[in-house]
Amino acid sequence: MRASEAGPAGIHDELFRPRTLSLLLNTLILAISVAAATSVIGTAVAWCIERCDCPGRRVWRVLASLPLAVPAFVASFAWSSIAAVFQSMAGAILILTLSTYPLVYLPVAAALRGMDPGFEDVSRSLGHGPWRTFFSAVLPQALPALGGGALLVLSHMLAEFGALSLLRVQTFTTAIFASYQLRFDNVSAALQASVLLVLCLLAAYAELHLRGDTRFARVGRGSARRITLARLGRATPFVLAGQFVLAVLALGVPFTTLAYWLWAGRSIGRGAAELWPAIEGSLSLSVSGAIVTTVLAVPLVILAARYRGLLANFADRLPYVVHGLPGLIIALALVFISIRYVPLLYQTPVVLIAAYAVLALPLAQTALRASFDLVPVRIEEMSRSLGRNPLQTFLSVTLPNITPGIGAALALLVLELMRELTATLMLAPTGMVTLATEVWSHTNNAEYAAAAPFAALLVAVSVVPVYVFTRRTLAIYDF
Amino acid sequence: MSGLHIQRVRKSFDGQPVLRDVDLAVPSGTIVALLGPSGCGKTTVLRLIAGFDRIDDGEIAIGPGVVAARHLHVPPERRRVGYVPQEGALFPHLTVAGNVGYGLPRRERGGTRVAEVLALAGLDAFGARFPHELSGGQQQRAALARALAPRPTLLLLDEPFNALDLDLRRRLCEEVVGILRREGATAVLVTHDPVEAFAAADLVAVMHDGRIIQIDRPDVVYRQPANATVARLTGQAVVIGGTFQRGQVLTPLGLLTLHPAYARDTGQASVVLRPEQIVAAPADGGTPARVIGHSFRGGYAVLTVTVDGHAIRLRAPAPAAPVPGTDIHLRVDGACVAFPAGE
Repeated sequence: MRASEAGPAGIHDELFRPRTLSLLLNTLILAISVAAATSVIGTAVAWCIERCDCPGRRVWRVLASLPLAVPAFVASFAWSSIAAVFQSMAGAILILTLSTYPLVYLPVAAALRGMDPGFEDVSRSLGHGPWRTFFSAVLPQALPALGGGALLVLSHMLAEFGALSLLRVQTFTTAIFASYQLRFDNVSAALQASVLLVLCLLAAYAELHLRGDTRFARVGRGSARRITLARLGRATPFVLAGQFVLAVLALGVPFTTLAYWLWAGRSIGRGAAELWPAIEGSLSLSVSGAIVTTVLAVPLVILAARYRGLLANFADRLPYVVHGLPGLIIALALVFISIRYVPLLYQTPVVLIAAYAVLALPLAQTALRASFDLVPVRIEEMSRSLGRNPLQTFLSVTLPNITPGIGAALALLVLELMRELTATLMLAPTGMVTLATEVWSHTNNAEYAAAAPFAALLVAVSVVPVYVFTRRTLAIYDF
Repeated sequence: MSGLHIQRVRKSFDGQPVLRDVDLAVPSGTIVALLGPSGCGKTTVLRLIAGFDRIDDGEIAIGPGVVAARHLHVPPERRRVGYVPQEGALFPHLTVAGNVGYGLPRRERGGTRVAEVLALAGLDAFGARFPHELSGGQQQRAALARALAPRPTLLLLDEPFNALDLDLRRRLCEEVVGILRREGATAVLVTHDPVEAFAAADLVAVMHDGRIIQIDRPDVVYRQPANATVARLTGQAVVIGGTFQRGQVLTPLGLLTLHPAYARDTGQASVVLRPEQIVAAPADGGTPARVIGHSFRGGYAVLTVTVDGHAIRLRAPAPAAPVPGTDIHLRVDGACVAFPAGE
């Protein structure tokens, strides 16, 4: 849209500038390395925890999903406060791998747990050793889950902004943000954004396909299965050591650093008065964002769940497409639209809340769909046959039964939106701060002790959505 | 004129025909059982009558008014049809009294009708309970009470006792039929259990493969089935080969009397007998047979016997049932039914 203003020649020049190529290279190197590293680590951890007689499996299970509670930009704050050496491409790959590997671990673990062990027994009885069995019988079955997780990581990496900006890595997102802030170079931001958009939509498209396949693979739930655990034997200490190191890097470092800076910052005497504006900003923005998103999501969910046809199909798939869009691009589009068509709204919370609504719509749709599916169509039909029209039926039967689900979705959205950084940075009215923007700006200025209390609050708030995500992922891939 | 009239109704799902020309007439005040195997389209018929789905072609009239035709679809809330689904489907957020009062106009919800219907269903003491606090049988009774409360012109019951165990199922069925009779209701009961259909209904409509192939009084449907399929769907049937011989039929069990409606002069026949028609006979008056199998079934035993090289399974009273190896004599009681072979 905005990019077209540059004219064909301008577009060509801009696209093939060495700078664009180097950004493309950086973005791809980062996204692919992190996706590959998380695939290896996530699968290995999942196998050790779910399929081996590794001691303390319950504890490891919790520890392995906990890194999700630390937003990537908070982890980056922690690492970059230790040494400047982490502010590099290698550092970014390390830190982002550590904070996103649960996105692979969780679906693979669920798939491994739900898998019929019969295939392995057969493979072993046919004379294949344990390694060959893993690669020929186990891994192919876990592949949809692994692929889904890896693509999720990939699209997160394409969209990641906060962590990369704190780690001083130049990718499309940070470049777009920089040219956006300089204002006068908006056209090049738009062009870079279109390249990024293409990458993201490719990832989203691949994920949509994979999910479609996974749905059909869910058969035979609830059948009795007993999984025999592989015996680690002499390898036990090495596996334990590996898991320990991973936990220290992924959890120990951020938490210890956070605790250190909290303690170091206590002398500065930052009290509630300093924290309050950010808490207030976070709460007011995320609560209104959550309400608007839910109101928008309810009709979409009804459409997708109760009706057939083109429109319903569209409503059903919308979340997967939107889900692939980076916050940065959504924010950029909204800035453009508001400046051009409704300048009155620019620099008001309305634009930001609109961005939140787009960003959180997928989450709202999945959360509401789950509770909506618990209301059988049957009882709506009964209501119709007892003389109530569709609207009365919705108000007197459907709504009372999905109210708890709506409440849960709202709470989840509020907590998730509090973690949102990119769109908030770009769209929040001047002077308005949130927990996330405070962490970002203080860390950017190397004021680590000042950033710590905001970061700690964010981590505390994040535990709930992480818990919900964990439960849901284990349920989806539990075929 | 009240009651239900269905004419040439057709319905397909995703291009797959489910109902092909269904015709059904239910006079006012009668109970009709729609009997058929699973997947034959019985539930679809009910859903079309209730208005949950649209018909493709044909016509449905409830009382004097047409409610569904090719380009007409009266929504369910304006059909005055009560529906009792398989699982009860009570509203989980309402009490039993709330469920029963749901279909009543607002001003009547606090009145006596709710208590009256609850009493009729034997649920006087349960009005304040929530559905999940009821047993399976109580839930079905509450669903029936809810459907009856607004005094529908027609009541539809979709295998309402299916989820219950056999004993409770028979008792509740009897009870529900009693309630329907007292209310003078016109009802369609869907079931795949012939015993339930015979016990409950004035008329039994036998459905197979998207069509109603016979509709008549229970004893007629059982004794004089329209074809071998109806015979199999309405109870145990022994099918043996034979030849028509001027109004009678010659079988390994002898020359048998036919119902006049089935009589033919010549040709191969496939003879349908009910197991209870084949009984033991004295040595001089029956066909010799040899017992080769014996399976105990409680009140009776199922015997496998060979007659002239043909194996036949029949019932014998349990205590006196002969053991394998015994030679016995058999005769056939009453007129039987036969169709030209290969039909």
